[in-house]
Amino acid sequence: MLFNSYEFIFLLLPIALIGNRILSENYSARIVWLLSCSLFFYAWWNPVYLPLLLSTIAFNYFVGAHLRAKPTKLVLVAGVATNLALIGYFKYAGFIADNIASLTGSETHFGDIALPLAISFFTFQQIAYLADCYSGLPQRYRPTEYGLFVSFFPQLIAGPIVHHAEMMPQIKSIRRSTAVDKSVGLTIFALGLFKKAVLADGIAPYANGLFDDPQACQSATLVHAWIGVLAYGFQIYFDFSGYSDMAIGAARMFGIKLPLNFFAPYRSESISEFWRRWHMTLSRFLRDYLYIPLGGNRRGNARRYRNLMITMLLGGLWHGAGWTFVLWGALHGGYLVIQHGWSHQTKQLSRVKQTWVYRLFACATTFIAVQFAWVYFRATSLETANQIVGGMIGSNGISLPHALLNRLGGISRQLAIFGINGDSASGTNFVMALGWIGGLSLIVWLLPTTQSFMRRFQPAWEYTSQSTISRLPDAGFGPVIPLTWTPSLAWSLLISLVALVGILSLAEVSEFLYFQF
Amino acid sequence: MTAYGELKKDADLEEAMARRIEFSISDSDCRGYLYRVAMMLTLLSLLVAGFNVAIDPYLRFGIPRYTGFSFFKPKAIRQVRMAKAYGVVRNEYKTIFLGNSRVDIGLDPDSEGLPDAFKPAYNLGQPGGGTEIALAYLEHVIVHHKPSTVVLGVDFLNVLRKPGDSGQRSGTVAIKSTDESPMWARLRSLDETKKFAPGFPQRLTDATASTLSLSALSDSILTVLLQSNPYVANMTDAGFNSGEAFRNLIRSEGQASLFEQKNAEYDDKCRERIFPPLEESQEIRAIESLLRLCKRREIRIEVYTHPYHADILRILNATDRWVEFENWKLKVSQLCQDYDTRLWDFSWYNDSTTEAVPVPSDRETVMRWYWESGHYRSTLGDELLETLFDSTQKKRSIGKVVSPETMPSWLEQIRDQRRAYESARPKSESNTSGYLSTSTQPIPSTRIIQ
Repeated sequence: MLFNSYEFIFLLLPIALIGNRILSENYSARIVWLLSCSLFFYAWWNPVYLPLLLSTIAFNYFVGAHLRAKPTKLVLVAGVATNLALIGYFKYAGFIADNIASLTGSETHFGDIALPLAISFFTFQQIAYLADCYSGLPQRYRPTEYGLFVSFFPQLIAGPIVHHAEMMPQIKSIRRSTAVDKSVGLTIFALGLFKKAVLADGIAPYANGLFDDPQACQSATLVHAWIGVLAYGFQIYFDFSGYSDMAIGAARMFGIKLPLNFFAPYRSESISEFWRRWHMTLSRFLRDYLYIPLGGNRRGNARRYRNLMITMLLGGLWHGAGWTFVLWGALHGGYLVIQHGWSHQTKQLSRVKQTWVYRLFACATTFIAVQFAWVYFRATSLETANQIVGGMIGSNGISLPHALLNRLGGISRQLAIFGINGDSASGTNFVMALGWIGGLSLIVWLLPTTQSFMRRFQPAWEYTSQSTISRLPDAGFGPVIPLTWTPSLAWSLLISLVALVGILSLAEVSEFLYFQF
Repeated sequence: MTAYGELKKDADLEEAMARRIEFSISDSDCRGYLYRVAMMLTLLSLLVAGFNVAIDPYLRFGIPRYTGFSFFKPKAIRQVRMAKAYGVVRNEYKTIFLGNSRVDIGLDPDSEGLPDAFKPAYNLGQPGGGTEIALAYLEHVIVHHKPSTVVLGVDFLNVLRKPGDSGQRSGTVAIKSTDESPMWARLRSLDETKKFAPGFPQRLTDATASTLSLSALSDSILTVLLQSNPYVANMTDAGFNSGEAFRNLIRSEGQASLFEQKNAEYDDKCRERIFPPLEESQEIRAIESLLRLCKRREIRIEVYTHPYHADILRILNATDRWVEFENWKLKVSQLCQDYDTRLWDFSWYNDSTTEAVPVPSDRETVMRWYWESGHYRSTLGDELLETLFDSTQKKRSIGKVVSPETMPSWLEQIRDQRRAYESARPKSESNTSGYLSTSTQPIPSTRIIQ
């Protein structure tokens, strides 16, 4: 079931809220109710994989209980290996087998296995749980509580990847949600729906026009290639931002505060800052359970760079079993290495780095580097991605639609002197794409994030205590119009309009990009 | 009740609190907020739905049209699969036109060429659709009511298929592809087992998409705004697309440019696609199924080949498709004979199909018979209908009834015409000049109505 669907917004969510309200005085019944709603939500997509989800919950619950009672490394390794074997079989077996076959010249094919929904998310969540049980987790949870922690429907399908330390105390002391929770949750959900259904889906055709058309990939000239790539850059930005808002908003309606997952990543001034703002819970998981166990930055720069590369390569592979994802991870790993090298070499320039010009340059460089990497993330093959990157650096020349040049009069003759000629692309589409990119740029670099907008009302888990607030990212580079939500008449009008436009956009349902990972 | 006092230590928020008292909110404030949002959402949704139903941009509901407000339906032609599925069952139409976009744009159900005895008629032509889609739509009609007559336009280009497609598919349309799945779900089938269950959710989706969707809202607004445009596109209640949108293109690019673009497209199609064995062609099977259905249900059916402009005939010859084109005609004539019906051939050289194309610089002249080489105007459609239904056959004939017996000599005649035409008009001139036979005179083009 998608968040941006009638059945979720008008059926499951209201029914779950009503049940939650009716059972508000009975803790156990509420937990069972929310767990049932979550399993129904999961099964709606494909009931075949519900037993798999239940089995993995039961398995990890019992292994966790064992580790808590008697922390043995062997059991931990066996537990983690089982989880990795599961995800390995469903997600990577075909990829590995195909590569072995191509290396050995064999024609054997592993067969197509349908990827169980959300397996990447609930597997990571439970590996973290086992590791913490081994390290001495103090509390004991009921099976239903644990089941709800893993499968709570707002975060089940595509994150945030919640940590038991964030969720379990909230589940255990689950209180009746207040009108404040519902107002805040509804507002965040409506903003997320708007971002996803209107903004991300609105710009998507301009990205698809490039990436889904082999001929366009092959012959894309500089401006057209950049338009397609930027369109995708903004599509995935608003898609993921919208999804994260909807997850946080839906959970908040039940009084549960999920962790932040997305915080103005395109305002980052470095790649490491980008990863502190983009898919924050995944970055945290990779840092705590991969980068640091690998040694982190403790054994010199060479080991540090190696660890960074391994972490980002596996992070890329986590997103999908394909060489394009590996390359995407490698690019980000490379970016991180370059960034750390640069920071090391330019320590003495700390005053220059505070200047507005340097920060602008840093933000623009980071943004452009991220866009180049998105090409590999989105393209269906390495060959296609390379073709598009070629277009972006001008290997196919520069051209503009004839229809546009015809209207530019004398300017088009000047452009021709610089080798900018006409092409047969639609002038209307070209102008519309530029309009979308310009409009969304203004939103990204002028408006506050949803959490900044709602910051007075604990819009995410990090806002619930002083220690976590201090770890929140700052606003990032660029001006921010200081808008702040209150339950006023003006905001109720505006949020109603935003919600209406989001609901009206449901008629054309599309999947979230992060569902495939 | 004060909320979230624990955040007071946060410097940013502390500062905000100092300046704004509203940091403390009560549950009752939020209950008021929730109430207002719920009320406004309901009210706005009702307003949007009411507006969209009143304008009815996709002809989903068949609401009466109001001049200056909702008379023309320029956006319905983009939702033709849906618009016609509902439009055709709003009345008991005696005659149904079936085919692809050539039918959609070319045959006017209100044409004077169609005798009154065959009216009311409905144009079920589906752009981009082969005969399999036509068959599905006819079944959909028959579940509702039985028409007395069907006119089916068959297209050689529908037989050609993409190299990667299986032989089970017809040429131009990926049948039952994901993109077309809503169409199949909304159509009623003569197969009793499929009759209700699959259709209901789709009909609900269609109703929602036509009332509570952003695209319906924007299309309703555009529908109102475009009413005063002299070249506004329109779909009539009888499913006819007047093709008026072509006038805008002609004004900006000229008709020669339209011919050039479409000729290039047809040329590519003929070169890239393959001609499957006819016994394996899904298109041929669909034609046979449709003929069988009409015979079983005692529905009169008139089958005709489209009056391609001579430019397309030239392309068929230049791309070595001519023999296949003839074989296809022979096969269709055989099928028609098997099911006791006639095949009318309009794809030959005459004063209509060889109409001269305006010169490239001419952006005012509109040809009398054609919008571009693949799409004839309703003026030619009127003549075509008159030919099909005129029992006296006194009119000038632009179509000929053919059978497997008469086909060889008829094809020989067309070959002679082709040779004469192509020798009189070398390729370089083909886009800008028509066929001047010794027996006919070029027909003057009409001027754009300013």
